[in-house]
Amino acid sequence: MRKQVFLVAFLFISCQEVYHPKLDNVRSGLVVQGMITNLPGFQTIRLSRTIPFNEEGTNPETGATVYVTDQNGTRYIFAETFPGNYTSDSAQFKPAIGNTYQLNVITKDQSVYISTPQYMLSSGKIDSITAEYAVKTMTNATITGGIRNLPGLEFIAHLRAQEDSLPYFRFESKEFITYTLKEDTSRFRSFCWLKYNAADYFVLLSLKNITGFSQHTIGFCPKDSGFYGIVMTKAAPDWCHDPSCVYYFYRTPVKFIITIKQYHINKEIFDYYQSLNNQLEARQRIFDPILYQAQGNITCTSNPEEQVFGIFETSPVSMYTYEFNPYMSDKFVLIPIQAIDIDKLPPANCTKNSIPDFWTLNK
Amino acid sequence: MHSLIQKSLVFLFLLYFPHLLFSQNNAPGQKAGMLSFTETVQQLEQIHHVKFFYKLEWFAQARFPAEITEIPFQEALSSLKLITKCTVRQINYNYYVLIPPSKTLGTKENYLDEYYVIGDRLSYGSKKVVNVEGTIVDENNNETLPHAQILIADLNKTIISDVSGKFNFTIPVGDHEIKASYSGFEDYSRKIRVLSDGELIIGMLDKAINVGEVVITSNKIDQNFRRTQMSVMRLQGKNIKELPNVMGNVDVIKSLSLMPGIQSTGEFGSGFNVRGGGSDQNLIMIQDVPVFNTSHLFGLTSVVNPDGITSMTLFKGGIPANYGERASSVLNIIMGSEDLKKIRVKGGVSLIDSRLNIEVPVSKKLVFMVGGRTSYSDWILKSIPDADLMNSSASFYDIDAMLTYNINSNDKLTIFGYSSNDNFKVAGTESYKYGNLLGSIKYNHAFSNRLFTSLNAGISRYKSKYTENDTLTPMESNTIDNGLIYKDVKWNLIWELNQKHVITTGIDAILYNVQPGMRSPYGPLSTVDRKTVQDEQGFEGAVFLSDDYKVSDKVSLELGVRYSSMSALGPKKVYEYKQGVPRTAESIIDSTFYKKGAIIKTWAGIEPRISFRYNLTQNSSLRLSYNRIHQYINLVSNTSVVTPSDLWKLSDTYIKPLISDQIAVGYFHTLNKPDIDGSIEAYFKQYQNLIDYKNSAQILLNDHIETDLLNAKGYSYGLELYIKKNSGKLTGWMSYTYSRALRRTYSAFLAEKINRNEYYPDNLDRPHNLVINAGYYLNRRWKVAMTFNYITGRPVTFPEQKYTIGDYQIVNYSDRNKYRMPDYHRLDISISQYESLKIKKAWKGYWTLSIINVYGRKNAYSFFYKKENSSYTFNSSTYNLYKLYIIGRPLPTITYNFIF
Repeated sequence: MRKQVFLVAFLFISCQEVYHPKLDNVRSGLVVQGMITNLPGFQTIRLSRTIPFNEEGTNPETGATVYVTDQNGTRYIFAETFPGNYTSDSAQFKPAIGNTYQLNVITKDQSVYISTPQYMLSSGKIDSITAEYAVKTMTNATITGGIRNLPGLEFIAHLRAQEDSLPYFRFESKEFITYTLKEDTSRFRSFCWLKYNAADYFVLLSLKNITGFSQHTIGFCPKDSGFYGIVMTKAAPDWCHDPSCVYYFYRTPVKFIITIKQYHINKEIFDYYQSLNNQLEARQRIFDPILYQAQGNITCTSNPEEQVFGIFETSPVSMYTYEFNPYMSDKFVLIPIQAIDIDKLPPANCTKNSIPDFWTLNK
Repeated sequence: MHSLIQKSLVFLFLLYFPHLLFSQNNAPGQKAGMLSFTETVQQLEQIHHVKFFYKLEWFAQARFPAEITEIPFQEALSSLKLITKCTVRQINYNYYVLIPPSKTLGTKENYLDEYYVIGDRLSYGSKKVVNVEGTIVDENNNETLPHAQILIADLNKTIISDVSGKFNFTIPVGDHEIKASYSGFEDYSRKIRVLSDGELIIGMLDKAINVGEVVITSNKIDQNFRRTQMSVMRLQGKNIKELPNVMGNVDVIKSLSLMPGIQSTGEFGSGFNVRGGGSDQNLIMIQDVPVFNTSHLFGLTSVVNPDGITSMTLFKGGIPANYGERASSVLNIIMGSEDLKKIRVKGGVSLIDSRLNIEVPVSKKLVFMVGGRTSYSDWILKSIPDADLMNSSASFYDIDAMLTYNINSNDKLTIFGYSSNDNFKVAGTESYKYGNLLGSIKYNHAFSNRLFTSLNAGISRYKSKYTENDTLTPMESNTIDNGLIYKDVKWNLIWELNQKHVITTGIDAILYNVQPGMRSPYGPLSTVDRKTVQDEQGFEGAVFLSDDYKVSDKVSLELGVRYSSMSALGPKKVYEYKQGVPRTAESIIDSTFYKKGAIIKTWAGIEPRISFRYNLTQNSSLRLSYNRIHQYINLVSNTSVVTPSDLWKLSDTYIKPLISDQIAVGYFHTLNKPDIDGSIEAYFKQYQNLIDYKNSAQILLNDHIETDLLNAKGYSYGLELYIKKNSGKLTGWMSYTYSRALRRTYSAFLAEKINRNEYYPDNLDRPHNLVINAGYYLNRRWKVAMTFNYITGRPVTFPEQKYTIGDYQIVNYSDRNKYRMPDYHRLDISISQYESLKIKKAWKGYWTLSIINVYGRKNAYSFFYKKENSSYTFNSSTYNLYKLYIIGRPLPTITYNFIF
């Protein structure tokens, strides 16, 4: 819709500008990111509070009592291991397909929150994953015109509808890229890594009313040629005191890895993520509603009027990891390797002169 | 200058010998250097742009030195008075009545105290009561004046002219006094001597010509003191040029939004809002046929060519029983001239569009009118250094035609047609097309001088098409069509029972066919599935009866009742939902298919209409009105701005008809000197079954749209203050309105509660609205004007909090409409050079230079929340709230208008 309005306004010097409204101080709400999967190891529930729209930062909810109960009433305690992060005892709590779980939270102010019961479905299965060359058009406020065409690889999942299962899935694709950084003096050599989210929104798939095989785009890896190779900068290092000092360094890609997680979700969870997507994809097009409110499955029993955000889900996950090279000219081969949970790798960084353990995964 | 002074002195010398001048009996022009009275007056009128009124026989013998045309006007006027010994009465800024010596001893009434003889002296005495037929016309151009009031003062009998300005009445032979009044005209008074059956022509003198009278009137004496109706605004077509300019063009519909109780939907928004009612609550008719999209280019200009308009009437309260269908207001636009004497061409050229209107009197009985407008904005787009805009296009046109056939004095046939079309194409990827098609045929018949009837059959079709054709994603290219067809037959009967009662009755029958949406693949590569949302059909019927009862000189009452019903008809599949849970796609438990014509659901209701008037004094009155209206069709839109893709939705099993009850009270006062009207009106409206939207409602291509809609109730109230100066060099009006509009849902289910079922501000809730409109004539041809408008910002829902789920920033919106946009205010100014006042000059044109948004305020058009960067390249998306404004700086425009 933005474009349409802009067009109508061609004579009227139409424009848009970032707007910072004066907002009321409202009580922050509890945000729950609760996902129980069938993966081995500890499970994590993240609790936080909303922050005002005009502010930045995080607001973890600390000091809460968090536990999950199953259909038998067994209670599994989650302990706070990091501000706002509550983890289970992996020895005690081993989520199982076919069980029903319910999240309970009691915050410091004695507010009580409870989720709807969530049944853990069986795992989904992808028949195959392929990659194709594609060009994404996306908005980017930092460049002239605000539109950027980005070439890269598109990852495609091939699935077969199964009548005996609920047909709703969510895919999560994360890329892990390692590269070396060498400065022109050769005095330093760094081992660096990046993590990318391979999707701009929650990738959801409904196979309802679909029979047989179908294929679905689940992620995208940009082929950013400008990032690698020789890079010149005037941001001089410490040893160069001349303001005109030009400084070169070299980025050399080493490995590209993508991990795709396939969550098998129920309709309630599917609808929740869909509502998030409606907000994330808002482009002021003709179809965009006035607003999207994401309604989760957690309520405050001590104050039913209180808004609670986030969701609790028990979604079995299938994980697939591939190595690939986006700079190959016309043939994109995905080499399956041992599954790696990229979420558990540290955020983007570099180390100097020593190779981190995870840097050369499976090599 | 020296020469002029010399000539003046010579001329003044001659003035000392007027008897010599009067003694000349030669034919005009026979004496060298002398002018006849007619020549003199004509030349003075041409030179000084004035108009004299006189009877030639009074001054036929007068002769004037030719130099009278070369001296200043006031001196010429003095000379004229001296020579003819007449008295000059200026009745308006440039109108002068020359009164002969024998008439000057008395008052104005004496001057007019001459009998207009009706009938044949030879037939005098054959009847005691005779029939008089007549026509009331604008004396300036002989255009007839519909619905004018004529009073036989001594009998206290009121007659209303019909749509052709014709009237008739029975009257005892003898002497009587006739009075007439009409909005924008001087009051008329004349004594008549009735001898036998005969004819009476009443010529009204225009108040407005060239003195800048602002002619939208809610308080004119003829409307507010001699009629029961209140909250009515009328505008005569000939005065349209006096309306405020928008982008150099006069826009009759947009100008309404400057009146008290009426607000624009936004800067260049489509439609208008009346007393807290949505734009779909206005029944906007052209020649008695509703038009369903009233704007070109998303609201840049209205779809009605102003040059073709004869009159327009807006009821915002106290709506008479013969109108229904929409809950808030009725706007009826009448096109064409009926008693045109010669071909008339009007037009205009602006930066965006051109327009032309031609009226042709084919014969004495047949008048044909055709008009149209077309835009040519593409060249501007091509010249803008922006790739998207260079590949874009925007255009519109509209065309109307009307044939009026006056079969005889009792019968008239009118055939009308109209078509409009808009076309946008954005960056070669998306396009909108929409258009209206209207047609009507109307037959008027007068059974007698007291019994009239009319039969009107009309059709209105609205179509909209949206196409998405992105070359990067050809597989997703698609087209969505929607629209509706409206067909109606309406019959009216007006019976002037006696002097106290005028009975109006009639029947309306309307057939709706709504096409909510059809999606089709676009292009050979498209893989989009075809999808059609099933059509909706409905039949609306109404009968009405009203009595305009004049209780006494001071009190009158209009009582009316309308019974309306609407049946949703098949073919249609209707879903059945599980009871006790919110209505969703998942709660569908069954469906029923109704075959073609089968009644799915019927809604009906009685609509009382009451208007009361009490004349406190000759110049002031108190009025009260109440009306209830059922509305069976609503515009469904879930976007923050009005778009052509908004859908019309009929009432059905789940969507109940909107019911509006309005009570209004008003005090009206008029001053004759200075010519100022003022009014205070207060109103309260209550709504049942408003349509509201669930969060994240999906409107387009929704097979079960009732799952995303909610029923709500609401109310609005307001106080409207209005003062207007009608004549003089400075004219204009000032209005202030305080109003509120609130609504609430009442569902028991949490998912269907908006703001916890508490009352919250409607989108149209804008409490303070101030309008100052003024025009000032610098001289006879130059006029400067200004319009200032202040409105409280529209309620809006902002993201209030944010949080993170996964890697994504999610926002939580505030309660619906908790916040407000910044207040809107804007100042527009213009300067116009009007046409030559030479009466016989064929071509008349005028220029208007206007500057919109003089101080460059960036008034918000809408707010939206959108993604700033992609997570592909920044590893995390960022979002921002944006304000979109349309006119961010002063914007000059120039327009040339003409008539010949």
